[in-house]
Amino acid sequence: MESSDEASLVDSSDEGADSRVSLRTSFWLLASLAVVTACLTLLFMGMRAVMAIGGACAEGGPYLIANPCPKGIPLVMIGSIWGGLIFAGIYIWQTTKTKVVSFAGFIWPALFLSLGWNFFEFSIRASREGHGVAWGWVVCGVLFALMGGIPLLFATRTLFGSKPLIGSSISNLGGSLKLAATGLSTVRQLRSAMPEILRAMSSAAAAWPQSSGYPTVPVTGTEATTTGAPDPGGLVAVLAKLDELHRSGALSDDEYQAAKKQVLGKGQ
Amino acid sequence: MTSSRRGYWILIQLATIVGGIVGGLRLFDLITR
Repeated sequence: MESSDEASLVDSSDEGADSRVSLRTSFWLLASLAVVTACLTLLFMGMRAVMAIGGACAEGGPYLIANPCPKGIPLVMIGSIWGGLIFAGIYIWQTTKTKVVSFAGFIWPALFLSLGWNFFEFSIRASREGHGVAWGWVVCGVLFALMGGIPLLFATRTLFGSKPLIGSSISNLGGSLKLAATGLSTVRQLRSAMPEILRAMSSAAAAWPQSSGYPTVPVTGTEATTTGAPDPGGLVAVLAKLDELHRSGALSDDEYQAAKKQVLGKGQ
Repeated sequence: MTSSRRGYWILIQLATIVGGIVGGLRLFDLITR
């Protein structure tokens, strides 16, 4: 027996009809969801790899590249963005068509909260590794947390609530206003708690594990120093880059020798 | 859609999400190795 709430999930034209989903539709629905999730994971991991080398990298083109991308990262980033967009479209199409419970509302929060996490983690890591708290990344992290967190309130409502979002917003204006007020008060509480959050971040930075697993290069890049865990691959890359700068004339002989000594001194 | 069917679809989609995450991590390793 269906409750009235459950029945509201089914379009009136489907009432009484067989609500079974065909095998082909099920395949596309689940396959597109798997690809979207994989793309979100790839984007998350790709962003971490780029942040570990200072937050920016480049590949190809006629220019001298100061910070080359790690292997495969351009493919990961471009592939995951386009793959995610296309397959999210397919997933939304399939769930709309079949009236199956949809996780589509979680795609946006998952994207922004996972990338926001990276901003927070790497700002703390930069502080731990002696570059000071990367405030630009903290600001991005807060922005991403809000952009992902507020829609998450609505997404959980569509999944665990009894009615679809649009219907509930129209028929239950009071509830929606209450939800919006909750969101606003959360933002206000966050703002007033900001000094404590910053204090907690500083102590978290102090307690953060030293070895990051990635070679890290300061954002400015030109000092060409390595920090963190000794990494032979990272050291070689920095030396190669120094050599490249020296040959291009950007570094004088003295500057090159001094920078090389500094790199080798820290790398040992 | 009955509640049992709804629960079934939530479970199967959660399992798919876990599979997608694991697959994404494997793919990342394969591409960047």
